[in-house]
Amino acid sequence: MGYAAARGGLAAIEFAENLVQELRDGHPSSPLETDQVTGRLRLLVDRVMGEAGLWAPELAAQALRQAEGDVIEAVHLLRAFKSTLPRIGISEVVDADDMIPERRIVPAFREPGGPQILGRSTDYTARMLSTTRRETKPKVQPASGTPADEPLDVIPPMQRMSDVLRDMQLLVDRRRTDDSEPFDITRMPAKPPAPRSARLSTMARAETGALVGQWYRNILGPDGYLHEVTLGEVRHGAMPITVTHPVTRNPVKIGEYRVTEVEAIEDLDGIDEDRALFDIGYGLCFGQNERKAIAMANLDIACHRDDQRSELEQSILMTTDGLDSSGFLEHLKLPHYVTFRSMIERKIAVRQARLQSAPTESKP
Amino acid sequence: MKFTREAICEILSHCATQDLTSFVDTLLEVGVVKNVRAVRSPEVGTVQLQVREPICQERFILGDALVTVAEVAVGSSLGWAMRTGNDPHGAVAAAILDGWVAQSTPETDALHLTMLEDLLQATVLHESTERSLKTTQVLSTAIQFEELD
Repeated sequence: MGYAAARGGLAAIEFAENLVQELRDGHPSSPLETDQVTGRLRLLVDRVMGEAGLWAPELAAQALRQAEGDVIEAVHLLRAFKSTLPRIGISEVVDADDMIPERRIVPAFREPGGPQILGRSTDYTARMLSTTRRETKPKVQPASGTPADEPLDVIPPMQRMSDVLRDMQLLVDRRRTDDSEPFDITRMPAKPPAPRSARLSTMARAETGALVGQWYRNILGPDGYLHEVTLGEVRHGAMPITVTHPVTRNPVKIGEYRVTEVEAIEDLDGIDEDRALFDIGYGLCFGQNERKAIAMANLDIACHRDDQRSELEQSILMTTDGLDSSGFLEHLKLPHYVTFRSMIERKIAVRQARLQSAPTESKP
Repeated sequence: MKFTREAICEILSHCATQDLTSFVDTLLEVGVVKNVRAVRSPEVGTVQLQVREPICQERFILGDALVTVAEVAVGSSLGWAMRTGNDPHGAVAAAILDGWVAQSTPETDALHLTMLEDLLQATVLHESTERSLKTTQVLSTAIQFEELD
């Protein structure tokens, strides 16, 4: 596919951009500070960071403000900024169990190892639009039914569902003993067949809606991969950023980032599968974005079970990136005069050729 | 000093930038910290975040985090700091403290080491209080669903 560039109209382009800037920044309401965005629109900021693949709450808030709340545009700004930065280092590998949980739900088991904690969630309440602004200070009240003798300042250990199933000898053991280098999708595009680390990175950075759509198609759509879906774990919490001190060569924790983690249990029922066992898909993404992590975990195991039989992996790797898909879509708004003129000329040429080759009617 | 060098680095990474720079300014003014030169100007960049997932025990790259890194020489000691976000002032101040602590002894710098220890302890206390409040809030939402007959 080739495109011919267009030029001209620079003044109009600058005026158009200024119009965006002036009407946004010149709005008579109070200026929008970044701490308002990070503090009050936390989930939006989380989503932008996740889809940009960069944990930087302040920058994500600035990007959202500049993009007038357009998530994809904010992701574009953040990724473009990220591309100008050097990669200073690589963190120490963090184990998923290093998370300090702030929420943990186990839909599969009523009494999992450790508590179920709703955390910051409106999952279980009715959606009522509040038309008045409430100024509230945080207040902490133990939920009814919480055991009174439980200490309230230490989160008890939580056994993850995959370990529970392993202990019951009900889980396929896919643990690897090698420690292969993970695929870096920011340095090289992932194409099928790709290592699982490429699929996980791709989904962690995917556009949330695209991933949910892909999952829904996989579950209920024309692909026909209807399978039992049970969530083992949904967790949200803080993970450490640990790097190596260059002088002492010892690890140093320099901060934290929040993630959502999901384990999706799969009931194995295929001809070539052990029907006495379960398998588990894994999802992990930046921030609190449970829809994305659930879709990711389900697609992780769906892709593993599919084993290249369908185009699922290709679809995940090549169509779920929001910047890719929106970028391609939005470029259609740019001038395509030359392309379209050539298409018209081809149509005219075809018509003329058809007229010339048509047999002349014999006159009586 | 009851904190290891790594613990100091970790706690300093949580310190407010203003607290860090004020403290370092004081040390520079009184001449406790001297012969400081930049080895690596503060640089804003990213750190790749790798996670080992629990199902296959495989590593994968979750994304990157925005960080600022700085390296200084304090006398003959190398000081280093990395902070999350875009924070060149905080990174330089923390790097100076890292280098200064590495070459200080209780015999020569007892007073200012104690001041640093106070700053570190105040930061630890603040962090711990915040964490405790959050944990209390979180645990107040602990739930046991009941199965209906």
